[in-house]
Amino acid sequence: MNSSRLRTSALLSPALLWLAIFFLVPLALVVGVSFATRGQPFTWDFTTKAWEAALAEAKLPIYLRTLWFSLGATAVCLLLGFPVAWFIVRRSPRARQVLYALVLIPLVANSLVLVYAWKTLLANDALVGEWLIKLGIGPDGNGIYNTRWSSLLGMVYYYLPFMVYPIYTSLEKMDWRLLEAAADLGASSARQFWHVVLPLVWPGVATGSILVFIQSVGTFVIPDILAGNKDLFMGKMINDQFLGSARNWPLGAAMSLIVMGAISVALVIYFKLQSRIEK
Amino acid sequence: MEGPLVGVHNVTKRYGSQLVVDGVSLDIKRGEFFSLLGSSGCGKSTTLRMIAGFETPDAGEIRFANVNPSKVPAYVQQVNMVFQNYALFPHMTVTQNVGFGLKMERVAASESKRRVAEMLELVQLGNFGDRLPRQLSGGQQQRVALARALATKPQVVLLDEPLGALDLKLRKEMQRELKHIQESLGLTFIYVTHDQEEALTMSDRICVMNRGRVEQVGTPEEIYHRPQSKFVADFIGESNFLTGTVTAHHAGHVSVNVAGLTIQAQTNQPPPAGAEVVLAIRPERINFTQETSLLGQNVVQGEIHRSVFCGSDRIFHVNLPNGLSLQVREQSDNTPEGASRGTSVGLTWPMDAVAVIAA
Repeated sequence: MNSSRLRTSALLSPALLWLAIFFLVPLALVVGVSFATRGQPFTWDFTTKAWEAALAEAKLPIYLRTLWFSLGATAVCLLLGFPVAWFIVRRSPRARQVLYALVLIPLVANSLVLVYAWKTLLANDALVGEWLIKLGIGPDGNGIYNTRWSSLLGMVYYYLPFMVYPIYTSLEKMDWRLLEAAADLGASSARQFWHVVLPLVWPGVATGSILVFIQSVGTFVIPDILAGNKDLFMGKMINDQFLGSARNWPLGAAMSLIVMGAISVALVIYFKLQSRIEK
Repeated sequence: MEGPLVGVHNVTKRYGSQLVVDGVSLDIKRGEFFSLLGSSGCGKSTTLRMIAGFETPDAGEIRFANVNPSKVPAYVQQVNMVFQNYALFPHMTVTQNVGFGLKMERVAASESKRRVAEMLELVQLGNFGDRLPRQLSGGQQQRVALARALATKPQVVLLDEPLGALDLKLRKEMQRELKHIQESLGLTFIYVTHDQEEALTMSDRICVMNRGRVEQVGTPEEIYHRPQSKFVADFIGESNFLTGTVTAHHAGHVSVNVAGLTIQAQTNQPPPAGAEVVLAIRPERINFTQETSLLGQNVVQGEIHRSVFCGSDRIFHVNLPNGLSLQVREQSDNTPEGASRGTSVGLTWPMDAVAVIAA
């Protein structure tokens, strides 16, 4: 009993060591900094000022906006990604590989390049931007560049492959004869989808959603370039604390921990749902 | 007399340039156990899938008595299918699987519950309702698939190699059970299999298919004893094939010259004299004899070339003086004394043991 426990810990030790060095130590540092005093960049004098600032009511709109836009990006990615994954999986194996590669290609390019590409499209004097203004699209009828909506667009564009991939994988594993069996027993297409496809593809949907959500919550490059300074999301604001004009490491650390908390909550929900499905 | 329950009329199906089903016509009667028998790729499964409504014929028509669902999708037809690898819904319990069709038909919950219980009882899985398919053995999954197909009381049940994944013993057991359920409920089964024995033991009628075409439709006895083509005689059981020429007509039988040897063969449709024919003789219909001639029987002399023991039977390869060789199947404990290589033996078989097939 004791020796087997010893062996277990011995076998686990490399993983634990890895976890300690790359996760626990940095995490402890972040927690430590969040209680440090602002300076150049900070001094190790204990204070809760950063936390008070991070939890101040004035910050609430930013948190909520981040949450809504992350959920929004997730929902749009799901609505777009599911049909894409479905379409790809129904092609011939050859066509599938090509289409699938096309979905993944954007991930190979540097995110900055991709987001700048959108900037050159959406800017007010650019190809798409011009038309948006002519057609009176956008919150003020003035295009979407430099608004929160261009940021949402960028997020959906960049995170879509993360939604497509897991859904595609689940669909590919699904036995399509189950749909025939359901049809044979009188299920219409809608009911086949609801009773057979969705429960079986659910793990992929959940995984894709969590991947998109996590990245959306922390995003800063996309809003930085496409939404300018008008609209602050948490990720961008945190970035600003460390690298930008604000220069407040303790506040940045505290807000990072809040983001982590939000993601942890999402993950807990995800695992809860996942285990319920598996039961 | 009642017309056929399912009528397949001159149905053709292509996949790309490949002709998979080529002008197939079948009439399946109510309450019949009808088998489509053939090797893989012969078009039997595609024919079944067209009857199920999963595939549309390129030409021809499939008609159902009472209803005319030629263009109606599978989910409207009162035709249910038992799939080759069962296609049970992995995320549903046995009860949910069996009740799926009832749920789709919006049958009331209490009625559905009663019906599912009845079905599970029928397939002897009364206590397995809460299990998931992956917690069941292959044979149990097979029963669930059957119960699921039967729950909505279909007129026709289609079975696509339903026992293919089971081991021999279980397969035999399930064969009996399937036949019993089909008979006791008075159901119409259309059964696809490549296993001739399965088809012979269970079917009321068998359709032998080859390369997308119907070779022969008949009762198991007709298919076995009166094969109409060399393919059928070869595919079902074993046969000695002899090629010869019709030399004379008699009442109910013909004489055929096979390399100098005259063989009498019973036939209802005698080919014209001079026609070249193939004769098929089952090895088990040939017996050893001491006589040199027997009334109404073929008798030849030969020499045992080889003898192979195969359990209950022994197979002898007997060379005839005209250079031909016949396989003879005898029960192991019924073989002639000292029958070994080189022994001279007399062989005899009745005229009705010879099937005459157009060459």
